[in-house]
Amino acid sequence: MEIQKTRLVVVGNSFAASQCVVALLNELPSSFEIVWVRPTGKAKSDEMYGSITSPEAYKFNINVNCTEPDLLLKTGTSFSFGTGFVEWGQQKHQWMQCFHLPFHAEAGVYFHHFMTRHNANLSDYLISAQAAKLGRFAHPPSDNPNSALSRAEYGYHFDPLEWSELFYGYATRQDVNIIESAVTSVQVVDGNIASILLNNETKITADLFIDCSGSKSYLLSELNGKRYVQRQVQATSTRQAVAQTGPSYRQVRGRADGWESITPLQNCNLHFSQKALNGDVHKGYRPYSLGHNEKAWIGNCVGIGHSAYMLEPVTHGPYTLLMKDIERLLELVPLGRVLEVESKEYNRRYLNDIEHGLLFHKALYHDQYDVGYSVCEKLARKLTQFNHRGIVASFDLEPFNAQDWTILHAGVARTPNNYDQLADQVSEKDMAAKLTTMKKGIVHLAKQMPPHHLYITKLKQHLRGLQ
Amino acid sequence: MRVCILGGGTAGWMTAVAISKKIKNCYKSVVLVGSEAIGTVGVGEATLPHIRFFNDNLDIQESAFMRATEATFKLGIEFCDWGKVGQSYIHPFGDFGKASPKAPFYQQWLKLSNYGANDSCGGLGEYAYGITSASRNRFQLPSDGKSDLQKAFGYAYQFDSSLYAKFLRDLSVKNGVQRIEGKVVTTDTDEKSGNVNSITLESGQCVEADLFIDCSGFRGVLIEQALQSGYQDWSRWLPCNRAVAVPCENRGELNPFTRATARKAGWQWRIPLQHRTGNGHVYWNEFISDDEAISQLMDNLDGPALAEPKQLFFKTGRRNHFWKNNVVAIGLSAGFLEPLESTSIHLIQEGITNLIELFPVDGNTELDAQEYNQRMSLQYERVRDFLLLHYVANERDDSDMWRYFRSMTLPDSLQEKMDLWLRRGYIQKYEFGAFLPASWVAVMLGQNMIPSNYDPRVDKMNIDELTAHAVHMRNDIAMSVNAAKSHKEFIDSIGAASHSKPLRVG
Repeated sequence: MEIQKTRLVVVGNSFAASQCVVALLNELPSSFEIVWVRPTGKAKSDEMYGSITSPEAYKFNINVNCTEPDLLLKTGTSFSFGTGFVEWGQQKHQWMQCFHLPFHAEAGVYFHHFMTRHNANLSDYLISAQAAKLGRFAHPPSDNPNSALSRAEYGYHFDPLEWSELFYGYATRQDVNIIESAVTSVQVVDGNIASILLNNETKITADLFIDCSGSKSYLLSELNGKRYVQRQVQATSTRQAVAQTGPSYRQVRGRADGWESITPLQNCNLHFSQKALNGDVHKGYRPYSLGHNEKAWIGNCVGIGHSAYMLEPVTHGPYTLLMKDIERLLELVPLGRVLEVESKEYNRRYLNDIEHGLLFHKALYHDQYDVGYSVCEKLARKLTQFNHRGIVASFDLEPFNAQDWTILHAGVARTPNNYDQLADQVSEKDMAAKLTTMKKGIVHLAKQMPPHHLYITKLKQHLRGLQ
Repeated sequence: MRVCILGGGTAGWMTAVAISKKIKNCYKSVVLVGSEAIGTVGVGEATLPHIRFFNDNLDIQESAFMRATEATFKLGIEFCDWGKVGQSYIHPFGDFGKASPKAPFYQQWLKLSNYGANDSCGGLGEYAYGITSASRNRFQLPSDGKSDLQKAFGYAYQFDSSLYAKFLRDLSVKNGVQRIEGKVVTTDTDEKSGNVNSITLESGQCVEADLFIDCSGFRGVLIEQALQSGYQDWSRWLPCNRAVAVPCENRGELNPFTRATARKAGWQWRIPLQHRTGNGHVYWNEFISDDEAISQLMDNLDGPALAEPKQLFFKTGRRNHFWKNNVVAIGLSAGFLEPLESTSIHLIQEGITNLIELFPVDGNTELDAQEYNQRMSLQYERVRDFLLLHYVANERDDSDMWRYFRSMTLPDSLQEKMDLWLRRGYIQKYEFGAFLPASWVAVMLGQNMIPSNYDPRVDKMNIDELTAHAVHMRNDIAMSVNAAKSHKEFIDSIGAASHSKPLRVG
């Protein structure tokens, strides 16, 4: 007797679709049938995933059998210690929003309190920030916890289009039915998608439709979910060839009406510009509506990535939220036709993730640019507690960790009025000496690291030699 | 900053010693006002593993502490008759088995049991070092384990909380805490700010302070009687409202676990210490009289009672404000949750940890209080849901109390967790709270909540490989437990034995 398979139909030719399909193929057993309806035209909104991942990308990729050598040899991916913000806000703040493991604590006191006490600059003590500033890179050692570099974390600079192609290649080598066709109509019955009709006249049914069609949201939009719009922007992206790979960080420059970024890939720089959309769309720009659906999973359809929400790519937030979408979907993948329990939990987590991702962006803009973001209760808690005494107030399972928040606060010159009084149990003189030594050591270490471009060149030579 | 702690019980002395040790540069003086005439409740004698961090932070040597408090090790709680009468399980400290990148181990075990492989793979408890060790009355430290699995457990203590308070009192006094004997008769509050200015004792002595920490127990002398914080009554969910406690002589082997046995109108605890066994019956007076409750307790002791039964009255819930004006409530003055999962001392510890982090810098404590209240509210609510789970995740309908729980409308937060578990063995995770996913798994599976499905990602793994993997894990744990000392031998071997005889008290 043939066992009825659970059919999951992924719709879209987007970065989200490729990531999602490969994850489903690698994680789910053969009792699931994966169908990928992949229109010819790419989702234009992919540029809004940005070009930087969080450090979690490594784990996600390994789980789907995408190795770092593949990324380096088959795409223009480079390494990233974070994002260097310049001229951000009215005060033209400049800082390195780097990736880092929990900071060194002294006498049980969080490190950033000593920054307040000694009027010091946090980034001087973060190896990932210092190495990025010098354009250097090396993998953090896993076998030498005494090295300051072991506290660094890294993500990737990437082009969503390249990664889409790479992941498409992975998918084609697995058991997936890829239908290169566009959706022409969606049949909705009682709040569920009964079927979709493709332009090759094929009618497709599914236990769960996974809408990865980008901001067009071809399927989810048919189910009449409520959408909250935060603001309207316009964006454009271009590539510029370079003779040598740029530094190990992405640069974001603040502008009066938006921001621009330069992301160094191996052989080119990705340029991205986002501006407010107050009237006509500028030539070469595309309009986007930043916001999110009230529910990402309605009936038998779940929207992954831009089909459910869009966050601006000023941080790694869009990538991180996409990974969270996929993680959530895998944990709650349908076990039958009744989906209420799964969709309810999916939507609960989805809303938390969106809210917490947006909190970080709101904090980035707060007192810097007025883009119409309100200070909600959670943000007020984060800001007031940090300003009051350097407390990093946290909520469950946020996409941005305590280090991200601390670095951001320091970056936009949010200096707490007080520091943890326990810090005073450490001799001021001794701590000052320790900080001086730390700072020197980190600068020295950063200078010893190879330039990003050289590191990649040598690593690729090594990897090719292994092939 | 002048600090006054009101109350000389476990909460009061834990607070005093922590403040005097950790933040001595942040205050001018610490006084503790307590009265020998007021009996202490002696909240839960069993603890959670977090207590070790508390003791470590105070540089308390484990064996000395154990000798002084008649402590034993605790690997978990054995719950008897909760899922159904005649059944038992142990809720351990630590996870089950070794997770794969695809799914936690318990999901693999669900699949194995689905395949009927239970005979060769055993129960889930055999994949938790703490359970295997506890059920054989053996003990070793996690650091003595030779494999990851043998190290993957936590432990706590079972101790005499009044001795613990005394132990901490000595340390506090050495740290400079001044103890004042006396009962509060009046409290002076500032009309404008609402702050407590001072308390006046029976002796006429007036104690002024900038910060008052109310550890006065259920009465909440400052937080409630003076500042009228208000109380969130949770008895519609956790209706047990009385307890009777009595110590008895030890009998049999010394168990490294606490026992909680479900009764018709409540439950009974059994906490083995070195010199005696603590017992108590928590019950809902709606369905059993005090006399019957006492009788049930006395009929179910291991050995002769060492005191007259002591009656306690409570209402489950918490204060609306844990921190109001210049008063912070810690311990029973902050709220009460029955000690089913040994959370009383843990919640004291949480209160202290948060207070130390948010210790007032200047006179303006509004922001500190806001943050403190948010954190503590979440802690209490999450413990509440976990306690309620024990009452509703079962098949019992043999008494009015159990039938009450069967028809109860649960808090949404708990109902969702149970629905997701039953559907697919999914645990709703959170970051801030005392109980990690493994605890939820232990209770739900232990009380016969068997999910309809397991995580399908487990099907990516071959059933033979899964079985072999499981057998290897089980053997690894079993071999280590075989080689471990008995609980009592271990206590002796580290010099933690008190060698005291059971004493009749009261």
